[in-house]
Amino acid sequence: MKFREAIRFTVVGVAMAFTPMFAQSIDIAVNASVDQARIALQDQFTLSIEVSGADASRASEPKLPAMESFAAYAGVSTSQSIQLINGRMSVSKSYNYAFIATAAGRHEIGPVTVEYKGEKFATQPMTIEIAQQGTPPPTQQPGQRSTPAEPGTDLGNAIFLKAEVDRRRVFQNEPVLVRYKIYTRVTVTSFGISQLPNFSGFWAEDFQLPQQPRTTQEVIDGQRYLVAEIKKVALFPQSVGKKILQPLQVECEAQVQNRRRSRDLFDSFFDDPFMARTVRRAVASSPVEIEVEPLPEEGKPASFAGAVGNYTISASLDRAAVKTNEAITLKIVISGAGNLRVLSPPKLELPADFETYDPKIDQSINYNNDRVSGSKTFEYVLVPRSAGNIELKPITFSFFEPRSRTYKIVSTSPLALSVTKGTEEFVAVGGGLSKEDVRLIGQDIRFITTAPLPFHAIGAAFHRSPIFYAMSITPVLALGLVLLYRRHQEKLSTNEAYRRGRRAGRVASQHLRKARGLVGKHDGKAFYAEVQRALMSFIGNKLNVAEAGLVTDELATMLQERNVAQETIDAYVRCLQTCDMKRFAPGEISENEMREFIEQASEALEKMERAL
Amino acid sequence: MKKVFIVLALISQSALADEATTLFQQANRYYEAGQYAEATAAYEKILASGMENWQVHYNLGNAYFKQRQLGKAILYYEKAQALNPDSEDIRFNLDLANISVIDRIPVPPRSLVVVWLDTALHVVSLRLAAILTAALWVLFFILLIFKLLARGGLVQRLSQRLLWPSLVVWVIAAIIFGWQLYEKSSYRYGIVLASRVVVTSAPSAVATEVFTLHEGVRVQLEAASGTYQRIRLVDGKVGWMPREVLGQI
Repeated sequence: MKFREAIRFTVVGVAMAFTPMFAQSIDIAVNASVDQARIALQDQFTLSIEVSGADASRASEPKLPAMESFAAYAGVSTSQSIQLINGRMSVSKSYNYAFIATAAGRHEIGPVTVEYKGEKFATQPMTIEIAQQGTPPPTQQPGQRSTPAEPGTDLGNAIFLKAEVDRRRVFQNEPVLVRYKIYTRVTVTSFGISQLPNFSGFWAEDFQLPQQPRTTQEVIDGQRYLVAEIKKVALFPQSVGKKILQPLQVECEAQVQNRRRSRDLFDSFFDDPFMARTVRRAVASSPVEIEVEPLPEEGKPASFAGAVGNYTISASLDRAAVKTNEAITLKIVISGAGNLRVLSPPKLELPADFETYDPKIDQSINYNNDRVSGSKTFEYVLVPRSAGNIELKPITFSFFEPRSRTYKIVSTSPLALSVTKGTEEFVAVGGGLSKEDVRLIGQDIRFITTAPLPFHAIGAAFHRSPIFYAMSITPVLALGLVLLYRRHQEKLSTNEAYRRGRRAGRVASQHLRKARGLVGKHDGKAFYAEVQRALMSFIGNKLNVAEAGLVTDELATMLQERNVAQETIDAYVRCLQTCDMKRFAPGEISENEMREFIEQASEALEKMERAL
Repeated sequence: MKKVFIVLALISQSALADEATTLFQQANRYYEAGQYAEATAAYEKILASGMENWQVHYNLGNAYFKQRQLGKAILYYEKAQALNPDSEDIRFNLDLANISVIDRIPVPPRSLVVVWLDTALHVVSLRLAAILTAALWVLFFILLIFKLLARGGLVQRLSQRLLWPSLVVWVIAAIIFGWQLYEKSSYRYGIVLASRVVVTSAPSAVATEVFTLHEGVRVQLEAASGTYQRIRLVDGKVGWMPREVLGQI
């Protein structure tokens, strides 16, 4: 890193007392200069006096003019160098007087005198302009921190370092662009950063600068400077408050020509950098103060995670259709300018049956146009566990835009995803399965049953079948019958009237049958006696009375008591009377008559049976 | 006339049963050959004809499982289990299928008494309980009748001895039978058949999403409204879901 361009050591505003070297009689030259023609009050300036010549060492110390009215003496340093030029020895002795400006205005520095062999050499007077504080002249505070000058150097403000910031008030995480520029009026052959400021409290993003610094020319206070940017850095303040950027220190080698050189054509031939002296100088920038403001609380979105700048977000899936348990990639790209490096992955709102893994993060950062910009890519691997058409909710990202001093929220458009069933066997999905469960999955289901069992109608159940109802009702009915039978049996054995009543019909019909058998036998008496027995026994059994002593009238009364219809009683009694009559009547009774009568009797009997 | 009808019905029933048996064997052959879709169709055809037994449901569940239709597999295993709760094969396959169900619904702890009572009330299946109840009923009455009619001797002594024990056993069987009948008529269950279903707080598509269920989850079916079904999970969560994604056991 060298300035290959020759820089003339031009002295502006410095009056040179030039004593031509006519003969051997005069062989010293006295030169006086101030390093800055314009300075601010309380600033330091240097009055350099150079005495050169073959015998310069024998000259007296320079006698300074009275400067108390506007400057305070701060100290002196001297140096001496000996050179052999064109066979002539040249000695150069320099005195650097440091002064602090104490009064504003334009002041004249009177001639400096040096005595040599009784002769007085005086320089020409110079003027210096001291400006009021607060209105610093353009070349103010070059941040020059000169190391004690090496012998013969008279660089003054020929090299200085400047730290330029693009703004002094920023928000937290809003970048400050700092450029470190070296200003020089001499040929700088090499330089190196000897001390980097520790950007404590900042996140620093270094800009890549070309190997060979581009130089520009700048005129400051009438002096032409070559300017080169040696370091450019974007600083992201990490905390709030006043921050001081510590100075950057650069050590450089500059080439300085012997000032005593004559300006003739011949000499300028040798006026090249290689012939000049090399001076090492350390220069440092001055500290810069930066005020860091906190981000406003007002309108801060809940999802805000510290991103400051200007961003856009986009998301994409590598496939729109996937099978269950297959992986797909969800790519989220956040691009823009700002503190990209510290961006945290945006929060995903996925349906519950998605398995996600930590994202793969890639970033590409550009340093174009004095901005730190680029993109950060988050790649998520998603594994859907169940099938269906799923819409992934928009992914939102919020950041603070310093320019508009507001928070902004950007979001992606929703992504549609169709998940179909995969081909693999069921695998363990819902997490939290124990090892034993997992081992079980390796097994298969049991085989189907092949032995055919009888089929039945769907929904048919035993408790709805007729068998069930029959089994429920039949026992009850059976029991009822049994109970009835038992009661009957009991009555038969204990109740005479019941037993006779139950027997009445049977006995009567026995007698009637017998009578029917007698119809064609020409035995009228026996026939009528049998019918009478049937009728009498029936009533006797039914009414539980002894039939032997039964009289017709008595019988009728008893029947009337039983509420038997008179008609029925009459028919019955009539039959009985007919029997009585015919039993004792003489003569043959015709078969027809008997047949008719037996019908009559059985009819009467039937009616009576119904009535009782 | 009525007799004729019954006879006809019986004949057609037996004809259907024969057809079902043929289809069943056909379906089993498909299954054994790995043609699960064909097997499924054949088993479904048996059910569509109105005939069933637990084996059809079990085999159909297997066929669905082989086709990775978890919801249907579980549904038919549950149906098979309802018909034959004591089959170890059904329980094994149902458990295996349930492992793959995504949702894990914690079963709230029950007191020991409730567990004991529940076990006791399900010690026999509904069918067996019905048979036992009916048979013990008949037995009790037979013993009673014998007791009433027999005059001394072995029969009477025996019936005398067995009469009251049989009544006690009958009462137990009847309680189990009655309880299971009540349970069956008042608690209905379903299986989620869609791979993912959002359960809402009300029977409407715009209602708040309460939770999500996945294929194969067993839910209790409560009231229905329009095309929506109110469901309840084991842990007491309640919500609505479209009825078409549910298969009733």
